[in-house]
Amino acid sequence: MSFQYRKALIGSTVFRRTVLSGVIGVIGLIGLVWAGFAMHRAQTLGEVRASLDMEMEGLESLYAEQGLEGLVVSLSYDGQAAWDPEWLYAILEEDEFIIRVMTGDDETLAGFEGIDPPGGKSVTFVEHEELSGHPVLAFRMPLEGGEAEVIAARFVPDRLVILREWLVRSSWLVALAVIPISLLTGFFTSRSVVRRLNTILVTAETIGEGRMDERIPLEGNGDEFDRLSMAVNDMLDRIGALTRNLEGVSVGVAHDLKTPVSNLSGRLQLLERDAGDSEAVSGHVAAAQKHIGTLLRTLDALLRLGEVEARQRRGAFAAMDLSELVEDMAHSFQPLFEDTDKRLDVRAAPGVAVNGDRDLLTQMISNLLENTLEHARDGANAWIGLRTESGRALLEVGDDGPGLPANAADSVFERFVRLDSSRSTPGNGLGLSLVRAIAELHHGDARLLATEPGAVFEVSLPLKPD
Amino acid sequence: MRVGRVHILLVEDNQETVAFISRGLEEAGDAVTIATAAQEGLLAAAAHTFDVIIFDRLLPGMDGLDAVRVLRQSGIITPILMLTALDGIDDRVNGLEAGADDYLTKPFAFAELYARLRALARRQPLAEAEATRLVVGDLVLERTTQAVTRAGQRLDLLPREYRILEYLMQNEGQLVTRTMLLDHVWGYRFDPKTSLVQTHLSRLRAKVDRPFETELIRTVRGAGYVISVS
Repeated sequence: MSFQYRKALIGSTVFRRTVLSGVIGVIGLIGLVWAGFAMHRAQTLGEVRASLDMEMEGLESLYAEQGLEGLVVSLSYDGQAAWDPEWLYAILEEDEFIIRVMTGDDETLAGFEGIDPPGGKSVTFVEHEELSGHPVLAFRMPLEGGEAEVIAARFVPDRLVILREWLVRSSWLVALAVIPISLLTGFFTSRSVVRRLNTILVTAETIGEGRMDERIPLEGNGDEFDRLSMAVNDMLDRIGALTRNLEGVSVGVAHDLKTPVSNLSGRLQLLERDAGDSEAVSGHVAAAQKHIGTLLRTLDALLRLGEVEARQRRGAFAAMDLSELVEDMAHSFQPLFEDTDKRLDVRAAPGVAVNGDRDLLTQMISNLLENTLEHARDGANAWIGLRTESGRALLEVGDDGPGLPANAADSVFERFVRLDSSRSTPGNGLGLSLVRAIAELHHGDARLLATEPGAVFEVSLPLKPD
Repeated sequence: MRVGRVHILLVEDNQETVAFISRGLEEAGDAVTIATAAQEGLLAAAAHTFDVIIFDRLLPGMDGLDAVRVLRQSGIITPILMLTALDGIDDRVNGLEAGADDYLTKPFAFAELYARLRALARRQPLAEAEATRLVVGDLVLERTTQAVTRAGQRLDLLPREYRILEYLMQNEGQLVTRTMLLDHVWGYRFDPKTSLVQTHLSRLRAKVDRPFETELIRTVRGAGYVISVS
């Protein structure tokens, strides 16, 4: 364990919190026990006091009736006015009163000589070796007339004394024990936390240094650290995919712009060479314009995609009849399918309404139809369908061949991805990206269904709320 | 019928574009007045009567949109064609809302601009656009019943073919470009990469022209279509 690591451990919030909460917990516990003890003690002493009050009243009335002499006689045992200290044991066991009657000069007239509390009502201690200072609650009162004083006392119940001593000892014990225990708990708790965080930190630093493929290792127990790590890993995967897609996009943009530009450059050179031949010139010009058209369409598609992805268009949303649009567009495209010896069937449920941007949804359907027109084999049966299912409008555009490879489900929607890597077929690989972007703008999604043998695209859009 | 020599106000600050447009228009026999700033354009529009105004969207000192709004507020109803390098879908809507009659994105083919200018210049007599019957040679289109006959023979057109023919006949003798058709007949604000327009036009021609001796609908290569009695 390195010094740095130990320092991170002791300095960690978890460590400090654990130690602090251990200490606070123990202090709270001790405080609570002592509070309970204090209440119990107060109640017990209160009872003793009340009995002392009654005893005092009894002695006073005895004095009033029979005078000092009578009082002394009544307190005598076996004709002896002064009590033998040995009796204390009996008194202690039988829970009796200790009485002392004395003159103003501290001369004991009757009772137990060894008790001499200060004035009033107080807790004092019996000065008797054998009892080793057992506490008593004692009252000291002058008798009416002032010729003598009476002290009445009663032992504080043993259990209070024992309980108190026990509490003092165990409080110290707990207080002393808790410090190492909470330090130890803090150490182990923070060690596991710091270790997990350290793993994440190290991975983050590695990624920060540019090793983008690094991922946080998982413990596999599904705890909060694993969940955090998984979330971060997912985020990294997504960022990685986006970055790769962006790299693909740059290459795609460059390629898709460069091809028409080089074609254009070629035509300009031919134009210079054939300057005298007006028929050749107009052929070159027409071809050059076609290349510019390709260039512009790619730029337009990129701009439109950017616009849609930047969510700039929700302002133009309005309720619209999707069934009508699907029917209308299908009828527009049917002749195109027929010209390439394909069929386009329409299976649109009537009255399917959504909230949307008519222009964008038109473009989305057009892109799907164009994609099918372009990629379905000659003689293929294609269809466009619209139905509703659990609150969503499902638009389907499909054909019966030749279909797409199984691993194309996601990549087909990425920008500039063309499954024909030679890029010899027309198109710029943006059409389906735009389909997905438009669907997502409408809180929907677009996916390629796993079907055989053809390619079937499904766009799901939320229905217009009633 | 043809529209005669038209007088056009061109408000545009880019010298290349000015040269490109004014040369083409002058060669076609039209008169062009050029303004290179919005204020200058507004003054010219107020001082003279033009058949069409071409207004660039991005001008020094003033947004073309605001200039068009000012023109409309001061009661000038001359048709306005906006030119722009901006191609957001909303830009077009904003342009039309400000009071422009048509909207063209740079870069464009001169033929496209010219066809749209012609369509705008001849739009003025509104009554004509509302005519209930359109006639080109022996081709007759009845707007009330949507019946189309040629040489007295009834033609069976699909709804979309009817609308294409109607738009062509409204612009008789004028070039109608592919994007004009996409705009007016389909209402598409994008350029499909498929030959949507060509396919429908060839089907329309199969019905309108093929059974008859003379051809009314002609293709202008790389530009569009014209309907006329040649």
